[in-house]
Amino acid sequence: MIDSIRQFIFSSLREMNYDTDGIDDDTQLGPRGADLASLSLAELAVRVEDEFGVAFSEEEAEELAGKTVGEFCVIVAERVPAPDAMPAPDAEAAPKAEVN
Amino acid sequence: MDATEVRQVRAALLADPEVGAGNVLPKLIEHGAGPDGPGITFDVEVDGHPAWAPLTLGALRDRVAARAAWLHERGVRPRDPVAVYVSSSADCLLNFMALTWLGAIPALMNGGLPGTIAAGFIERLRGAGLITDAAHREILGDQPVDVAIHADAAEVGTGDPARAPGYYRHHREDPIAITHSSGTTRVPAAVVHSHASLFAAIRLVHLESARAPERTLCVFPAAHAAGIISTQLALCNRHEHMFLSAQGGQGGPVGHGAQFATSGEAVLDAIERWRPTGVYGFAVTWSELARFDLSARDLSSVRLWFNTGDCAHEAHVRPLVAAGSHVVYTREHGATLAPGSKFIDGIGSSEMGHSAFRVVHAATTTRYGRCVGKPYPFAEVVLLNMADGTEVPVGQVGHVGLKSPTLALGYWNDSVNTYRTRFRGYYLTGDLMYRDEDGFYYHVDREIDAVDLGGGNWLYTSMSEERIMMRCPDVRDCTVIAGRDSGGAIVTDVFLQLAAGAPEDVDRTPAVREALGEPAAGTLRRVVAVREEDIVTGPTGKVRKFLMRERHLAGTGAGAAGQS
Repeated sequence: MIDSIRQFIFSSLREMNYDTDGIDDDTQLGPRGADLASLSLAELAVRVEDEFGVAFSEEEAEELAGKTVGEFCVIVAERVPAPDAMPAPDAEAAPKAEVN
Repeated sequence: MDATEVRQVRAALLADPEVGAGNVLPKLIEHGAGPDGPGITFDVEVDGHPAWAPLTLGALRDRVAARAAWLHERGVRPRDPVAVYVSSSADCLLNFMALTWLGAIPALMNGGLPGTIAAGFIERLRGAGLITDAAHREILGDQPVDVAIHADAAEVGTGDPARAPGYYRHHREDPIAITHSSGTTRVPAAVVHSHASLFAAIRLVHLESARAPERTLCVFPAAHAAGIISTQLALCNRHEHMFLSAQGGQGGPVGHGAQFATSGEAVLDAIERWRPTGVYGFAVTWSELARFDLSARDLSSVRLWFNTGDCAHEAHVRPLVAAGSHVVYTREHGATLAPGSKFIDGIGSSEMGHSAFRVVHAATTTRYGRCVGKPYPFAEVVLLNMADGTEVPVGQVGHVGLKSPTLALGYWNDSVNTYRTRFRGYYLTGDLMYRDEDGFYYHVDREIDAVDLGGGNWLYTSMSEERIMMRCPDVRDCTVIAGRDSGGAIVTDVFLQLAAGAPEDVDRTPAVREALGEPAAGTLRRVVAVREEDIVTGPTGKVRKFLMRERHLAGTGAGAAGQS
């Protein structure tokens, strides 16, 4: 799970036009590392929420700048619903909530 | 602003242990912030530079250097306390920076302080100098002011920047500013901040936060700790920073609620003109904005409202977070802006130096009821039972004790109160709070305003106000005061400031009783719809309950509660 989260974070950063060379698990997302701008950090959080079905509180989103990539992966992994809590396959047909 | 420069400057400031609240300006320049980058924008003319036209960092440095040169030539030296009693944010902040350039100690006075109080403050300061503008020389009148140098703020800016001496090299414990608490009829406490304390939160939190190309609109009073910190924060983060004077303007005489009667309109106009992403203010600003239909104004640029001082009311916060904008991301459209902003509530005080707690509200959040959130990582908070010095358990109200690198050094020329407010290594903030099992703290009242009803029951006036406003949507603001009347009975008076168009003849007493709950409801003496002029406030807009108690509770008036 951690690997797929890490992979998603890296691909998101590249889509957001961040150079991921030199970024690893020990790199902080904020000014001491990747130096993601505030809006980029918010976007990354929303992308991760959308992809993995997790949620961050407003306070947690504010504090992501101090987290490393590795710490962020662990936080997400701990929140991903367990497989038996996943919706049944037929629920896939239900329309997803749209963000307007 | 070039992102690489912002990153490099922030990193250099963080890495330099000598950076503090006394030397942000020279340190920015030393660490490579370009002279064409943002300085500060004022709503008044500065030495011929037009109002609302941004001062670059280089221009700001020149305007400060001019003042430093002028003051130095008149004999201002390191450790000289110099009072600054002016109206405009420019006169306040530029002189603050000039005085710290010299190693002197600016004592910033809110321009709304009445003349007699101001004279008392200056006398107690035992200062070397005083800087006033014409309006405040008139307010002081012929009261004797015993200072060696009394400078005209308009003249201080005429110095030659090239003649400014070298910057004073501060130690982390050096006093770099004196600010004051609210004061209307009594001389306010003079709070001393150090080079390190007033910069601690910027170093520990704000420079560690994600970079953002912010445009900020500051509606704090410039003469207070929040005014200094927000300005230095903006400079360090290389934000475009607009500083309104006098919290958006004074619409009436100081000392009561009508003082800020026109400030809401001024703040909304300023938002539409400056297009800020962040708006900083005290509680009075949100109360004044509650007069307006915000959907009728263009507030779309605002992503964040930041409050400090008193805890903000839910009824004031909800319309704000419904306005403004925030980032959403969808696979189809990528990152876009959607309606709705954030409101960060950070309860704090001059003595705390920076808010010690914070809670984030948004259109989707529901944590209100005077929840102040959790302490910042740098703050150690305990809730104390003052009878035995132990910590109270979860769910019980205790006195807030705080250890924090942001704490002020103490009170200037007032050791009695400096030590009276210390307890077992903690600073006693004077607030009463409880915390829940999830670690969230809730502010119920100021210690001096709460009333013991006996039998373990207390009347908490601040929490009562919150509940009344939630039950009475047409009440824009409200003040609850409780105490003993001349007959010795505990009585509670509730003063309602109604929203525009709200009927005055509706009896809101049942709703107020319900909000107070028993046994506090049994002490209710009257519920009164009042005008702004009937609410006693300090120069920052904070309600002075002590004075209102003196004014209103003396009478016996023990009749049945009724709205008049």
